Amino acid sequence: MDFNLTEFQREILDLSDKLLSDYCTQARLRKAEDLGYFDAELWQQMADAGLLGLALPESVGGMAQDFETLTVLLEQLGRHVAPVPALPVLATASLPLLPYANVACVQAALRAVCSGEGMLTAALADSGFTNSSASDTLAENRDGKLYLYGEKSRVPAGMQASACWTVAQDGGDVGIYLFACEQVGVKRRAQETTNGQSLAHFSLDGAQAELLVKGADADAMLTAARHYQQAATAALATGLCEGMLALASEHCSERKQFGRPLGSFQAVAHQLADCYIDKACLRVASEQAACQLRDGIDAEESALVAAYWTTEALHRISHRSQQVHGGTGVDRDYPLFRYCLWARQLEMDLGGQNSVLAALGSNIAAAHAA
Amino acid sequence: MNIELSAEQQAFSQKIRDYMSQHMMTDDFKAELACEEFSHGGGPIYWQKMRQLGADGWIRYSWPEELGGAGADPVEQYLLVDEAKRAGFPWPALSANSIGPVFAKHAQPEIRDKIVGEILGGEAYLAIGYSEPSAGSDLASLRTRAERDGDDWIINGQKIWTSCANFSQYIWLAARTDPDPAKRHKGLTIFLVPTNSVGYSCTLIQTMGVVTTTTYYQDVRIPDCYRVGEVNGGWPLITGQLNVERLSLVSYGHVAKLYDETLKLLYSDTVYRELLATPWVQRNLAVAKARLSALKLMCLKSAWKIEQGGSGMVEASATKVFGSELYVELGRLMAEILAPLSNLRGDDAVLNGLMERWYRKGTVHTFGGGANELQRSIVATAGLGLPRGA
Repeated sequence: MDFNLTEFQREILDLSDKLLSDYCTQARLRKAEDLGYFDAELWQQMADAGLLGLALPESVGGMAQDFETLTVLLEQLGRHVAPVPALPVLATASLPLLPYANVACVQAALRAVCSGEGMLTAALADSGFTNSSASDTLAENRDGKLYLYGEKSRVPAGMQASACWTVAQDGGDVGIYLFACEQVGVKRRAQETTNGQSLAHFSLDGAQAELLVKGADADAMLTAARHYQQAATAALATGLCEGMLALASEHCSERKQFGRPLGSFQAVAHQLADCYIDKACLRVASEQAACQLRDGIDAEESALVAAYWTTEALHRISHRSQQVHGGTGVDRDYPLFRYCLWARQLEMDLGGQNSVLAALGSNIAAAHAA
Repeated sequence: MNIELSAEQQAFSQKIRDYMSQHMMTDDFKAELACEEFSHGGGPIYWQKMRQLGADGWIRYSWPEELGGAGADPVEQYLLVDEAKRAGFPWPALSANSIGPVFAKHAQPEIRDKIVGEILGGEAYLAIGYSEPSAGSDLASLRTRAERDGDDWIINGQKIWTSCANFSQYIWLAARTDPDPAKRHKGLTIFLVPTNSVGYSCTLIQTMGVVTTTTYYQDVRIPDCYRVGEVNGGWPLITGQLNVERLSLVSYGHVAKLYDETLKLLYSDTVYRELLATPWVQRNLAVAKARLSALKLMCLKSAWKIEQGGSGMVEASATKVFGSELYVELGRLMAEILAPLSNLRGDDAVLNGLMERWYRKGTVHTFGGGANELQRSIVATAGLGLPRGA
């Protein structure tokens, strides 16, 4: 048992903290808000520093570090509410493809991620409310080439992405397909969402694509994507919670009412103590999921537990942080609101707490049969 | 980072688990613990087990080597208590973890070796005499007083919630030796009062869950050698209790027991198949699982921090609040699943009465061992840097 970061991980932490401190100033973040909360210059700086390829193999220009090391970067991105789509691109979309990194089209997509020249995303939701991987998108084979037909909604970083993978059916066979976003068969329109990041709706009308995997391998890839998404969200959320709590603690130490600092009132201090405990729970749950994914242990349970704590901590800490700030907390000239909007975004991106509990509970009940 | 216990640590836990099931939690002892009178210990088999525990070296295991212990690190210390509590053994935390080593360090030579020998041999236990009818969380306001009379001290006063005093040989007593109210914290001294002293008496308090006691001190005369530490120097001995002991109050195995046993019951019997398939039952199980997972990691991480040389104070306080409130929450989540059977007592009780007792015994955890309000204040000031309250 050892909760220390390695020396290299500490270097990544310091490097990313320094870079993000320079780039995530209030002025720059305000500017990024007009651009779908995306700072292209920061993204390129991250590429140049090797951070985009942190957990990608050397064969595509990456640093070949493990998932746990990526979570160190993700936490810092959350700590600074960085205006970059690192979670969907570096974790959910890229990591499940690693077993296929030597397939030419995958290799090219990952190489572009590392260098910053391109962006890879995953389109995991059809139109409408469903968040499941069941997809109505159809794949058609014509003259030895594959074409996709269907609607994809809420594609993360969809307006910036150069490549995208998705789920489609070919005569009842579920497969994972990779396609280029810049082509006549793909029509994109921006979708707005609460944290300001731009998502995209994709209309696939004969999008030329390549089949990566089918059947059980496709299911495995989708499961891996969900685990990476849950664990990576927990790491990002840990950083958000640290950020919110730091602001709340500072505010309550300085602001005086009735002649005393706010934080000297127990009713205030104890709310923040509860936030500290929620954050501590989220952190250990996040660390457990990261270590298990790194070690290739079945992370189904730990990823769900991390997702549970993500929804719990984000909701409770964001509301309490707002509460103890009063009006200051909702003012757009004060940094807290961005954390809170991200908190809401990530919480619901995971499907919300009850869906996480339903999955965990059904696994517990099913373990009986095993 | 590695969140798993090492192979040695896992083997250690297994060793304690085997020891507890084979040597400690024998059927006759379980039957004795099932009697309300002996549920905390104090019965004839309890003393047999305590002597065996001492002879096998487990009471001294966590003591520092210079005090005659085995010098176990905080993680091993935590694992030992965790396994003992998981097994349902009334672990002698005061001897083995909190008071015993403090006594050994600060006791006067005239009595030290004899009493340390009794404690480590499992022949004597001690109860803590801190709280009084008008001094609970505000311990410095206590009124029991000790007055010097030649080579002796004369003690007068009353203590309450003196758990285990009904079968202890000694009371670890905090008394006021300087009546000046300006020196509230500085006017306290610790004494070890033998329970066979003239003028000492003890009455039982039946609570809704457990038995505890009130102890009375009427002109109790003890020689100065039973004073522990400096005159008026009691406060650091009171507050310096190890943080790892606070962790042990809510150790994972102790809190998870109700979940583990409930799940075992649901899995074992086809009668419960329908319950297991019910969405809200699955939800209750999932909430319990998710929160218990965090408790397990929080306990181990806190113990690890202490092992690394940190004080672990904030971590221990945060874990104590979380774990004790989870204990109460679990009592509800699990009882709902088997309700209304969950309230049956006696021969019809489910899980041998564990579930029914859980509620009656559970609430003490949120105020015992340092009320959660005080722990939250520690987290707020030491963990978040907030200013102290009025």
